Amino acid sequence: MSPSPSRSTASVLPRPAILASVLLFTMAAWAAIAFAWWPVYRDLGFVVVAAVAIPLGCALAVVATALRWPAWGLMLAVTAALVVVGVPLAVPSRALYGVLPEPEGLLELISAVALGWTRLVTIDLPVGTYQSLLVPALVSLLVGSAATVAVALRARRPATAVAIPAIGYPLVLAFGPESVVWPISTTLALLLVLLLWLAVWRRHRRTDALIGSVDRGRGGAVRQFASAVMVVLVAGGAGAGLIALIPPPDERTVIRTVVDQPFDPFATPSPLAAYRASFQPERADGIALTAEGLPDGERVRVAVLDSYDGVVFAVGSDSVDSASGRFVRVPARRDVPEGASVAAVELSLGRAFGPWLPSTGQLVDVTIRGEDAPAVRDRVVYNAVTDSAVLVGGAPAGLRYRLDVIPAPVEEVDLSTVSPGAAAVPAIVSVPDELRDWLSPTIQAIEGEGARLAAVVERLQTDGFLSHGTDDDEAPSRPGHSIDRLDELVTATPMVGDAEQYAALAALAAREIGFPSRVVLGFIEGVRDDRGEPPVDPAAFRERDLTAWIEVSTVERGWVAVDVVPPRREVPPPDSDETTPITRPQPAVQPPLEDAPPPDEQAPPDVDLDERDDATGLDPLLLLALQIGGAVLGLILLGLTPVLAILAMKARRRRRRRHARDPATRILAGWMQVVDDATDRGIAVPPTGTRRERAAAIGAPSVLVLARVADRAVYAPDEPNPDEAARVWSAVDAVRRTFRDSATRRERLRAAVSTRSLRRYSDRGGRQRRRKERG
Amino acid sequence: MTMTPEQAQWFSGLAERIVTNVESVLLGKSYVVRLGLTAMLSEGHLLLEDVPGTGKTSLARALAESIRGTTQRVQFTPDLLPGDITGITVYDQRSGEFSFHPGPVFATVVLADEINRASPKTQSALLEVMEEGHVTIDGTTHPVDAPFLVIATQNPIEQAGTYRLPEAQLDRFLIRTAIGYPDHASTVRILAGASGPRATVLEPVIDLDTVRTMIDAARTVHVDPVIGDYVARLVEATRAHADVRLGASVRGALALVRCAKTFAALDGRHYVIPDDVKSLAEPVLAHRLVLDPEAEFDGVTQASVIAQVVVETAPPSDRVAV
Repeated sequence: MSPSPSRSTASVLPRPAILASVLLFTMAAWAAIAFAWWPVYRDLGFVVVAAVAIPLGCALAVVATALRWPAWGLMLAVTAALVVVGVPLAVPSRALYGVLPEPEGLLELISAVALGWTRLVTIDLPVGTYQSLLVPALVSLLVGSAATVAVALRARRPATAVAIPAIGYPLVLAFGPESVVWPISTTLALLLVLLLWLAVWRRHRRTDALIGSVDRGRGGAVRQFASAVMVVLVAGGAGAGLIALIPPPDERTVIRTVVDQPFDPFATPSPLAAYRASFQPERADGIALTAEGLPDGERVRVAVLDSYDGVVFAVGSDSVDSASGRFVRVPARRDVPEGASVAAVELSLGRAFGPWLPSTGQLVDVTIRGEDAPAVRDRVVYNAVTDSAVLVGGAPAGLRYRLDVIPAPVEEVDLSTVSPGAAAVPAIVSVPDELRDWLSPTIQAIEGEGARLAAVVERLQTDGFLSHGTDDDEAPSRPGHSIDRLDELVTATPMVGDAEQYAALAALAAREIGFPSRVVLGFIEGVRDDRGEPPVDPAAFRERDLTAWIEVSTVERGWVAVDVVPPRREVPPPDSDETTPITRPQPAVQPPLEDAPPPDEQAPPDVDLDERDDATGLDPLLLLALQIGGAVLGLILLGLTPVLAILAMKARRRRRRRHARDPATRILAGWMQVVDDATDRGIAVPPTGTRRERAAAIGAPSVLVLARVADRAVYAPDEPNPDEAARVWSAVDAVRRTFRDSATRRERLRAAVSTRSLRRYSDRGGRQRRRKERG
Repeated sequence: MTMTPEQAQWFSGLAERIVTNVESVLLGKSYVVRLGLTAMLSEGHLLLEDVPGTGKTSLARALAESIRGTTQRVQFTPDLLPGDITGITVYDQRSGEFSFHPGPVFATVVLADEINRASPKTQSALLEVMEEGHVTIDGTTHPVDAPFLVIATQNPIEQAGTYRLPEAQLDRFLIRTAIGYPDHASTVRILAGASGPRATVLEPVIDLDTVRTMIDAARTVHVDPVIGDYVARLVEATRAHADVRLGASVRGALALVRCAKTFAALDGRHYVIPDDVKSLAEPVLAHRLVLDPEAEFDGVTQASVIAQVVVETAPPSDRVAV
């Protein structure tokens, strides 16, 4: 009695030693990759995720192999494991007692599997356990380790499994920070693991190739390991030496470098261009914002503008190669440098500031008050270069929030003692010649950039007169800060303008002297406009209290705030001999870049799209139905396009083969048609087999006859006649009918849309051979 | 001149008669008989590496008898001298002249049993005859008749006290193979007396002149250039193989093509196909490889290398992009 076949795991899994080596190397490789994730999270929660995900993925793959699950079975198991452990590990705030997932947690987990990757590259690092951002790490480590073990245990060439961590590592780096963290150690560790793994596999492969295998012995294995270690050490040593000679850049290009951030300031109107609007009589005494807990002299920054195109100062953006334009989402709490003190400031907005979120100092954390606070909090983005914040979608009037900040120093800085720093700011497109003419006599006799800047500020304070030109008793003063307006400012007598013009002029002058500079729009605690009605609340800032100053980068003190607006005093009458300059109309916003969308200056940033006027005139329900129908139809067509393309390609190929130019080619083409049809039906036709071997694999006797005829047409010296080709195609049609009749409807459909036979001819080796054979 | 399809059918018919005739003695060994016939019709020689008692002598004798040829068996021993194989010149006192006494090599089929037990000098004497097709003694050349087939045997088990054939001499053998033990069914038939009594003489099915005509015809089988390219890629792959110190030579490639021609004709074809090359790659090329000592120590064999090369070297693909 013959033994009945059993589903023994011993016949599926490799020897324990091989299995152990697979698990060991997989875990080591993915542990090295986990180290690459560390700069993204820097939290104990991530350590727990890695410690669970990697062994779990390995275990699932082993179980799936032992129980002979198909690939989709393993995928289901990994998905189930992700659902079970995902919320407690990666979304712990949504787990009851830290273990049981809440329904919202599951939804968040599923959402994060798809969207977490995008969120990860648009947020400031490290993110810790913020929201569900641990999910990408969990997915990568769980799926990666499971896939690696599965390939190692199932693939015909197990060594291909090393490709998975080898590909996974740079991908993880791509999601990491731009600053380089442990580049050599992690790479070397992963390289060592993968090389050792390859060495082990090579040994297994050779042993398996032997007939009556003879074990190479411990000595051979030791030699191989030693060789692998030697290669890694030599490569690592050479790499380290090279790095010592040519140090790599401190920063690298990763996804977050190139990805479109959630907020593009260049598509937003310059707030400085709308500065004068705050001084319109009907608005000037309105409360702009209230700030409680603000130290005296501390500044509330609305926007920081460092890019000037000759028309307006704007926030730089990636479009103009400035880090000041890159706003990223803020995780729970930003790092606080050692020794720094954190202050809390409560702010309340009296009016909408567009996207700009007034802030102060160096942001540590932001807490939104009121309803829907978490959603609003999630829209806060921040630029650490300029210490300015933005609320994507707009900061509405009435918004209340608390800022935990490291206050900026408020002491007076003697400008004559500082020298220009090296901060990167966008280049100025053009500086008016009149500014240079005005600047030259002021600074030419003064030594030192700091002293020159102090002289310029002093001259602005003494020669300049403050006027917004909005009240009847004020001197005329044109708004704007274009080149034309600044020309007028420096050439007119007396020099009349307000913070908009003086800050713009001073920033350009500082650039001319050599200081990287920028214009800051905001409020200064303790500094109030002395006109109009004073506010009842001492912590409140009126619209007319809005001002602007400049900041210059210095070697000694970093960015230093410089007040350049002259004090209010009576403006003398203009010089009668001087002609009134003809000025051009001033645009209120900067012109867009060539490829940037025109900013809609009229629409407030927080406008509800649903409230926009619909000009189509159609019934909204009908329009919605049409849109949904069109979208569904489009999706169906989109989904069917590949299928139709495949069917068309196969039909064209068949027609071309049947009508090939000569009988020999038609016979050969007939044979190829049979092979392709068999391939599309899932028959494993050996790719490197001869025709007879392929015919044997296909199985039908008539196919073997076709193979012989094709062989004769190809290799015999005599040319076949057309009748023979016709007979071959009759046989081909018969074989295809046999295929069709022996298959179910579903199998026929799958064969029709299968791309196996199309892919067969797209391999490089095949192309090369065919090219060679065509001569 | 190229063989015609009709000639190929004639060739195949005769060969089939010989194979059937020999198979009546050597049951269940059609492939080996075909290889032996291929070696003879390709004007080469056959090396059998096999254990005793598998039918080597029967094969040689049956082949010779089937073509109405003669057969000689030489048991190689360490004290065997070259003259014992090639023949000697003896002084005849009555006539006062030297007369040549031909050795056992002057036969249609010569069975050199356990060739590796003789000294290298004696081995070389036989190998010279195999290569040159004549014997030169005392300045006189004595050609051997065609067809001339040497079936040499080596015992792969008992290596003590033997002189291993050098690679250069192994290269002289067109084909190396093993008969091997018969399968179960054939063994039962042998035990039942199906192969007949040992002393039975087979009836010849063709004569020597016909065999010579077949040898000439086999040379005219068509070989497409892509087959030549395939053979070249195979031998190049043996040279590039990591476990091989010395790959197949050009002589090996020529031998493979020559055997493939004969093999195709045996199958009734006047053209060679890649299957012929694949079938013959191991018997024709394997014994010409010199393996890396470390790989050999690991247990890698010439046959396993050829098997890997054949699997990894793609045969000519379909030549037109249709």
